[in-house]
Amino acid sequence: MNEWLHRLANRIANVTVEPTLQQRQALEAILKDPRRKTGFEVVSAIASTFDPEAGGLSLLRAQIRQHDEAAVVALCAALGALLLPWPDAVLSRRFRGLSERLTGFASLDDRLTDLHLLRLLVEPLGDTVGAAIEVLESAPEANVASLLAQHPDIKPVVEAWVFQLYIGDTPVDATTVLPPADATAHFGALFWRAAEAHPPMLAGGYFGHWHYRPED
Amino acid sequence: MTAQLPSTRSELLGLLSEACEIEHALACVYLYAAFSVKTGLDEGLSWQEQQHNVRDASEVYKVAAEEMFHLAQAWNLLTAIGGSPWLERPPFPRPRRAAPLHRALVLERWSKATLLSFHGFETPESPPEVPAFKRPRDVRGHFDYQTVGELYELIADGIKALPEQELFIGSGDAQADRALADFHELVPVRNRADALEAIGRIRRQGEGRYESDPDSHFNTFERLLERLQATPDPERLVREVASTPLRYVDDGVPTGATLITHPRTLRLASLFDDIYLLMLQLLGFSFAQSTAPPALRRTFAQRSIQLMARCIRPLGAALTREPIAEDGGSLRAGACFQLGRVVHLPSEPRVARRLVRERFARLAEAARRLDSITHGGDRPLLRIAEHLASLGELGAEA
Amino acid sequence: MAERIGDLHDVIVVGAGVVGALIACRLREAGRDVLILDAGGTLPGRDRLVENHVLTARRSPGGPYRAEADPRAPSMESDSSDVIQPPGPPFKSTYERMVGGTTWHWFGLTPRMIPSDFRLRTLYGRGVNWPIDYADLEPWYCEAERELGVSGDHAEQDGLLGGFRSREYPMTPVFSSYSDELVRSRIDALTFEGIPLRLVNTPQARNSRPYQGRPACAGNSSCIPICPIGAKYDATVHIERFARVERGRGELRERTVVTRIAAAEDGSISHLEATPPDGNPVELHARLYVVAAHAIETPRLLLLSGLCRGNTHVGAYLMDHFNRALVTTTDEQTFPFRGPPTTSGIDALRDGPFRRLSAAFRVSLGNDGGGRTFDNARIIRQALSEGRYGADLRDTVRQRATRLIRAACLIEVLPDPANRVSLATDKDPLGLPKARIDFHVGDYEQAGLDRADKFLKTLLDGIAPGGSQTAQASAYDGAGHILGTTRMGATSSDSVVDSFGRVHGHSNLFIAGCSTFPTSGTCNPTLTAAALSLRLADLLITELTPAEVRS
Repeated sequence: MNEWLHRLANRIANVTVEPTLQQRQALEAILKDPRRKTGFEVVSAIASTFDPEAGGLSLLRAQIRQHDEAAVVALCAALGALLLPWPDAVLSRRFRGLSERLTGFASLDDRLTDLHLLRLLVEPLGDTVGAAIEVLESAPEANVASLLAQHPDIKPVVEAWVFQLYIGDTPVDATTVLPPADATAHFGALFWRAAEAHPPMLAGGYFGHWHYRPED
Repeated sequence: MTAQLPSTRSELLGLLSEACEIEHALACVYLYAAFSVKTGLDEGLSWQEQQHNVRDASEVYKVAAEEMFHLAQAWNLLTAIGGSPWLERPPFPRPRRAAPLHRALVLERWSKATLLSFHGFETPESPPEVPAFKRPRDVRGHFDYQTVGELYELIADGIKALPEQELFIGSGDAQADRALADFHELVPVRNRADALEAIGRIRRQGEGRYESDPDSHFNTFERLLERLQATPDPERLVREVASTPLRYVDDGVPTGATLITHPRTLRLASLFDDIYLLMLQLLGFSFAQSTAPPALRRTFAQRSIQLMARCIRPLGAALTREPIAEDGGSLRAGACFQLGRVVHLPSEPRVARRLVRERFARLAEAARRLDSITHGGDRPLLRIAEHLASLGELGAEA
Repeated sequence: MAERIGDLHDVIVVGAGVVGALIACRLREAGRDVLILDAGGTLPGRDRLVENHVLTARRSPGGPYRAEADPRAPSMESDSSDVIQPPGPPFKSTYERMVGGTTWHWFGLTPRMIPSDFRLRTLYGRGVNWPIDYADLEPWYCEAERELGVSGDHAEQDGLLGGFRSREYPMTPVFSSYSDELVRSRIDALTFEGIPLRLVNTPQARNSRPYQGRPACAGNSSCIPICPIGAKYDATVHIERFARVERGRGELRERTVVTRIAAAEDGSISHLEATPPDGNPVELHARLYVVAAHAIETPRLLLLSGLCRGNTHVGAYLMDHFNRALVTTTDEQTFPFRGPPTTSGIDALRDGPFRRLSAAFRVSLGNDGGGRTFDNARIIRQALSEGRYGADLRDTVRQRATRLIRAACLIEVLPDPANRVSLATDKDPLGLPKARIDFHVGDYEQAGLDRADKFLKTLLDGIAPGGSQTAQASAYDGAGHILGTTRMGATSSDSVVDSFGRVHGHSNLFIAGCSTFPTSGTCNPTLTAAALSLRLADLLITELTPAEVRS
């Protein structure tokens, strides 16, 4: 986790593009949210200094309670996602198209795939997203598993990509996941569509529907 | 309010048939509005809007399900006093002048105006600002009523007034109970007390036990209206669905209705109406054919309810995303609920089984053919075809 | 010196959970002056709680609430040191300290205890007998079902294991799930130790139709940790009703921590000392006091206050129910993850001669795939490790995710004086000794756990022969049923309160809730706690009525 945080902070520190007005407003909203109070000081230190060596990481270690750690990490990911440039329309379209190919689901919502793209870019595996897109597009009819066998360097990010789309959370290792930065990822998670159900906490439709086979 | 009370079996049967028509029509009207609510993130909803939409629609589905229960209960009442289940209803749109209830019955998408009209259907008593509607004397029957509640009050008064032994002549075996169909509150009616209990249940659900009863349909719609009024930009949360779509007309398009001209949408709407008719026929058979084997009655009732859950709802919702006109435009269609000729299934079980199997098979084939001309997406029509095919396997017990 | 605040109330209720809320509401509706105190606060809207749960890494029952918790409230999460437990198999259940209490994330299951549960000592030589029996409580069970809004099958439950019912449920049953029907078709041929098995609809405080202004269940499938639409009962129903009552006087003070119950020489309670949000202690006075602060805080408060001097039973007999679960894959599709997480169960093993030797249990069938026994993400990881992508991945997930059934046993725990809540030396943020829990699993419970494992295997082998089974990793899980620490009985030689909850030696102090249970019984305790509370409320109304009016 330490290393993950360090790399995340580096990514944020290396951002050279000015946040847009929309990004700033979203960032302010996040920082003002009292639910984030546990990580507030930490995040604002990172945001204001953009310099992990200037005490940002030590503040992180000192101020979070253990069971909030992952939530703070997710918040940092959201922060990072906001500070990075929003993907342009071309990248967005390519990512969405490939997401459909990888997951087997057509007509994915582009807001949802953009969220996932941003999250992947912010994560430590984010460096390999571009390469993964290039490789997958270079062989549109190829069996994906075979392609990944030939390009093992992109396998982790492709697996994380698919996992995120299906589950909503971001995998960190074989057993650990991080929550999303936006609840849309949960409500758009494909596992529930595949299971012919619905995301927990969203109504399934009407009283008693669970007594019958699903519609679709 | 009421000119006189029903004093003959025939008048009671007539009023109960009117009750069937109203409950049936209300179920369709409520379903149509619920189908039109956006439910997908891919429709531009935020997850919070999706939560609220699906929640609100589920409350209206519950009301529609209760109207179906009222219809089933009215069928039991009919059967108990010498009638049989009445499957028909006047077509949509039903203009104000031709209907009781001083309100038009039309298929409209979810909106403040629509919810207000729903609120009006379930009102405990006539709002003072609505002028009393008097049915002309030469139209069948001569009973005046402004609300569904008043109609049931008339029916209850008639039941109380007529001699019990002479009135309840239907066979007790014909009565449907919760073992037959998934209506847990269904009352088998064998005498006056049962009949009044049945009517009481219907009125409690609709108007409520008292004016402020929070669980009545009336107050459910009141709450939904309050929420809608607090929603900024509610139009964005609903599909742009036409009013009272029609597959065909006999003599010009009635005011307030919209003719479907897109060929694929037309086929989809026909499939919906064919399934809807079959659903009614199956349920009607199970309630009407008291001498049919109980296993067959139960199988048909279950198939009917399964059709509602697995085919009617997804198709009804799917139609709200289909274009109404061939020449483009943003207006979407919706389920027509157009019945045409309502023919009952034959009473002989062997023949009925054969017919039902054939119908399911034909409908499954129609769905498969439609799937082959529909491109992209998760192929809902293929799923509908699978459901129809599996439901058509009636099993040994049937 | 604490500042004296306000008048003499008729009743002060400590705790705005289900028990406190029911009592407070009843008293106010009877025209009484009631003050409710809760250490926690009112929660924000449900949308926000839903979002909290998605955004937290810890998707436990407390997921939506952690971010809203009062920082002074103890956490019982496994990594917390707010409640002290010595090393060893821990007491695993947790509770919430906020307005509405733990019902925010309870399952909502409301079976009644069975007559044998009240007479365990007489029948099986185990535990103790309650000072009341099922028939005494039956009318209150009916009342509690009406207050909470319970959907159930009257015909099926009437007479079940000897438990008669004098009234129908307020609502017809919640529909069973598709997978329940699959199980039903296969269970008829099964027996366990010669006992035939039968699937029974589970009574639950979940609306099958609109009820008291709350909608019917729409199958959000997230009863734990939250019902986003309010179809599942939680105590905010009665808190909100309490606020709307136009009789009597009522007030709810949030984030007000009761730190001491002060008694006079004769044992009567003179006042409560409490710390409100501003931190300045206050004294609060009433004619009668009801402590409904759940089974950890209630005994802790008595101990902090030095009440019940010499009574060694305060804090003792801590109980829970243990959960054992088993998940299997099935040949036919079961379509889990739809509807309430459980809708049917098996009651046949809740009673019998075996209770001389091993704990009884109630069985639930899960509609939630693998529940907490089996992580859904495993299906994705497995498929990816097999090199599946695209339509192959989607179809594989569909195949595997729609073929799961979970069954779970809720196993009773006997009262043992060594299992207890006491005071630790560590202090909490208010400077008060933390609670310490000592708990161990006894032979009776272990025998029950072993028998439950055997049963679950028999059941799932019978329902899904050849299925791949996954057992829960831990030896047991807690059920969130914290019971027994101020139990009821005839005298202070064996109990802390009488059958109404009046504390021995403190005539104007009452305890309500699960801490008064002498035995755990074989089912979820909330309905029983609610029934006891309504019975107590009626007693309090009588006590508050002047004698000349009563006669």
